[in-house]
Amino acid sequence: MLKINNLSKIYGKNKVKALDNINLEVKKGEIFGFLGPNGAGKTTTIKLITGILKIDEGDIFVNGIDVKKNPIEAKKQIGFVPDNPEIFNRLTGLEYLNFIADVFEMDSEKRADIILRLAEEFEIKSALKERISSYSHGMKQKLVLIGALMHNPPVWILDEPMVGLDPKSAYTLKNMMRQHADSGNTVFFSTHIMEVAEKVCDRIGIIKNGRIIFVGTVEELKEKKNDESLEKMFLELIENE
Amino acid sequence: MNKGLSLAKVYINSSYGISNFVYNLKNNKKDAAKAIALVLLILFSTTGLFGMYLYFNIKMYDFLKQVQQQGMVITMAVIFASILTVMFGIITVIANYFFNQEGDVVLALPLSKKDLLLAKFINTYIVEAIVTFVIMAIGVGVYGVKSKEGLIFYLVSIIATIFIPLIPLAICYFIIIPFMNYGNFAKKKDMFMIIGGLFGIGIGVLYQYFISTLVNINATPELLVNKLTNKNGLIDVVGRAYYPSIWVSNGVINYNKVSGLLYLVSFVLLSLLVVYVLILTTSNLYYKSIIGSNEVTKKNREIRTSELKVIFKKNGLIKALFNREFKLMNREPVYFLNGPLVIVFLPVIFGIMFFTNNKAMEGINTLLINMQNVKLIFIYSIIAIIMLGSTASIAPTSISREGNGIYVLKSLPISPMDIIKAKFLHAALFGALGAVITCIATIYFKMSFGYIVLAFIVGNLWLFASYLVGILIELKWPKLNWDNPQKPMKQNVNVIVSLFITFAFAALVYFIGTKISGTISVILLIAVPVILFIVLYLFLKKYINILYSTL
Repeated sequence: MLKINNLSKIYGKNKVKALDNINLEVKKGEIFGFLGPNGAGKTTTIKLITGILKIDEGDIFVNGIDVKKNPIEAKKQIGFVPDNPEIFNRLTGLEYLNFIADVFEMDSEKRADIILRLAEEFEIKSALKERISSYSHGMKQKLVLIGALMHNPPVWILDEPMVGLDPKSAYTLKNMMRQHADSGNTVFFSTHIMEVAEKVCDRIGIIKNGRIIFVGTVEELKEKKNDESLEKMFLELIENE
Repeated sequence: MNKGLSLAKVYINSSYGISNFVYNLKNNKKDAAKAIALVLLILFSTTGLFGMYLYFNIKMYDFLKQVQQQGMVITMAVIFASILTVMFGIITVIANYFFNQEGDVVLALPLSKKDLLLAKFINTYIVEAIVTFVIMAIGVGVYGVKSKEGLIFYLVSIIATIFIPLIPLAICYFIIIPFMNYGNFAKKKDMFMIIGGLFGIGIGVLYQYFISTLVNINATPELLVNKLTNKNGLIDVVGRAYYPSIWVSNGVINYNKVSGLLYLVSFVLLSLLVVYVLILTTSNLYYKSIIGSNEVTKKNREIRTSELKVIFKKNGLIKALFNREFKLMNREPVYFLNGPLVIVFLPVIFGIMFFTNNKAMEGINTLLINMQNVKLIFIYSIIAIIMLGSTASIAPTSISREGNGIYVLKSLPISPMDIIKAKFLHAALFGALGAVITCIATIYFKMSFGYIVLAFIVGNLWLFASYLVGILIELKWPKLNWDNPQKPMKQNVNVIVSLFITFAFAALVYFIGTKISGTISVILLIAVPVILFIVLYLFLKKYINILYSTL
């Protein structure tokens, strides 16, 4: 479960308000898609949830744990995929995953089992002994995904997780997201791909200029906008609101 | 060629951050001031090096004046600048190959091969021109002031200086381009960077040797001049091998004669011709060497069942963080060369200097005769341990080196103090290695085992405090936005600030060791760093969460 109360974020000396009083609740068993144009505040929101940025105003609770007051415990609930998978290029894929497993205190047998299984599913098993610097963008994305999912966190926070993935891996991930949510967990992800949002999400949130302009199901949005396609509704919303 | 110049402008801007600086000057004065401070600090740190060179130039001029050969000062400056250009040039050309800002975007643009090479040549030329200007300014300045030359002399000198690096730099390209093609070296970046770095250290050793030789014959300038100007002396050999250096110096010295003008014009034309020939003959080869330099060969090594236990071994958090630190630093050639490797190589350079410099040996032997000087050697060993440990720059780059990776680290459930502990341990490991090397060297100075152990402990205690200083500076002013690993390591003001603080620590050790006598000095040598450490640690503990959250 993810709860965001009155969240605001101000950047720099010019006091640019990147997020303006955001309120949001994502329940257990739900896949929530976070949509918005470039620079709307999607990544800032995600960075605040994952403790990368300092919260200026408001509160975030991950499975009931206050991110401000108890950041480490909150982070233990999260599996995070950043928007840019450029990570620790001098390590090998295996070293990276082992590091993540050490951080989450996974025992040897369990990590071996899960890493190999996920690597097989995402088809990067044979590259795990290579340096990350030799990976393609898609392979890096897969590696980061495995790192985020392998400790089976109850809350997945994924920033543009489909970017760079081949169709088969994207399909695998979508299925995994569904299974994860169906098992009573929470998936929160940002995306630009309307088709994915429409097919995968239980609910969506649309953000523009740091403010949430819509939260609800795709059907609710369609009712409001006379049954247009999500893409068209999205474009209308961000232009008119 | 216009496209080549446009590309060069982009390269220069991205390499030296000129646009960014101009923007900061108008909109962000604080960052602009930081950039100026960094340049001033770098200049300040080289004053010793160039001060010595200035001193020799003045001495040389005075002696050569007696035999009416003072023009040799200019010749010497031209030769010195040309040699330095070749040496630095090789490193810069290699570095430019590997930190290619162009990436695939530039290669995909409709630019001719000649444009690509010209742009790269101009970009590397900037560094060489700066070095050449400094060297020439000293030679020309000494000659000009002492000979009471007028404005035209300086103007001619400036024009000549602009052209001096062209031929040496072209030579570097003529050497490196075929090398990159035929040895398939462009794909062996790490190996090449390390070879290039060792070459750089080699230059350091040679330079030190050269300077120490000059120091040895300092007492009699005629010996020094003889050494440089006699048959097969430096000027003679280089003058014969690289005759244009004589043209340019003749041009500058005889600037008011027709012969001087002819020499200068010939030199300028020759320089331009060499660059033109370089572009004309090697641009195809250059293009071939950069195309596909980013290709990666996949080995696809399978994970065998028998390896599972070793591969997936569970580690404690601090060990896991330490392993990550260690691998990330030592697998990156830029970090390794400028960091940990210095710990091993600096003693080697000093060793060479020491054993080739008879005067230094005599001094030590005299010192050793009087056993009371043991305390002085003890103090020097502590200072050596502090200096050596700090030159690796592990702590004062610890946060900046993370770059964008810091955001991944911040998203993980790790307490900031644990991250700092791993960084501290990493610095302490190499500091201890430096201390061991220093201690082994002190055996030569007949220091007792007890003193050696004490020097090891005291030196490391001071280093511990300096690591915390470095880490705190990094937490407050990290340099996280960078596109090549040179920036957090070599263009990081935190390294210089931290180094100055470490120098202050070393000065304090010297003060305590020499001005305070007996047991009290030993107690202070231990107590002061311990107190410093505790104070810094408590400060860190109090503010770490705030500092970490604002990264």
